[in-house]
Amino acid sequence: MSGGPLIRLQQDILYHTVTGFLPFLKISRKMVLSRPNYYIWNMEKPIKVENLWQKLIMGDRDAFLHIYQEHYVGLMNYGSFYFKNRGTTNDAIVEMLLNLWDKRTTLPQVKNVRSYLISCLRFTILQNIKTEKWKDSKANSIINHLEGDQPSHEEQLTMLQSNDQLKRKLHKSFEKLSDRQKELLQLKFFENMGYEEIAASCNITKRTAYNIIHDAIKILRAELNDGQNNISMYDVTLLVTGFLSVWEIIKH
Amino acid sequence: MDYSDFTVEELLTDTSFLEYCLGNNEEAVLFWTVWIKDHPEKEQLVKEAEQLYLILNGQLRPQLRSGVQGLLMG
Repeated sequence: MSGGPLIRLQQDILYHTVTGFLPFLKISRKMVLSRPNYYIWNMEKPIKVENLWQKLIMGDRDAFLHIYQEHYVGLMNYGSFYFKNRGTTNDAIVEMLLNLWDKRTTLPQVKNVRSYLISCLRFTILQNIKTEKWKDSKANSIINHLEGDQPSHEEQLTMLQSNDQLKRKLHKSFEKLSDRQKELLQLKFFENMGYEEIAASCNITKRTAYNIIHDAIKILRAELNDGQNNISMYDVTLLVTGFLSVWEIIKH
Repeated sequence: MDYSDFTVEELLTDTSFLEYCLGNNEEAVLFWTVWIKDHPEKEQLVKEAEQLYLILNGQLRPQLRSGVQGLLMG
């Protein structure tokens, strides 16, 4: 990992509130409000993934930014499984992105950007472990995971930091969902996929994907907000810290 | 579509709202920041949607877009 840009990135990556972010914006309120259509059901907006990738190869920084923004959550949640630490995962993602940018002119044509980036991230993580950059007691188990297949549900559970009450509550809520609903919630929120990609990978229409997710959220809300002795959803959020992810809970 | 009639479910299925939650699209961030200011009666609803979003996405909080910009300039 090189020095300068990384340090700046780490400073930037310290979480900011959304309002703290506003002074940095160079667009006016008028500009936004003059384009209301952009915000209305932009699930219909086509995703020109191949176009973005092509632009990245040509050295387009905006395209690179878009790719980063589109895949950051998915990569973060993928990588976090191995490190159990957002900071380390972020370092790996940054390093992977730096490599990607350096090698942009020699990148292959890629159809599925997400899975290509995940392969790159796996490679970066493995390399760092093998060169002892991140040597620790967990290194071997990380290597085993990465060289094997995708993590099993049981493995995901081992990183669960448990709060029993919260765990029961979330688990109970998710039991009300069908497998399909859980699958789509995971694709949409944990992997941060667009409706278009979800529709394609599940072989359903975008409208169906939207409806399934809408109904699943409705059921979840009803469950989470239900009951007198149960913790409210707001309490749930306070209790959920670090890597206690709902996906680790429901896969139990 | 009139956003003032939005439910939590609709917010969480709206791409621009998710971009606002994640802070990865500055136009969406600006739009929703202004919208929330203009609709104080919706504060609780928006808060619930944001919190449920955090639960569902693995607790990833908004981060500055300039993060990767810094990377590119380096």
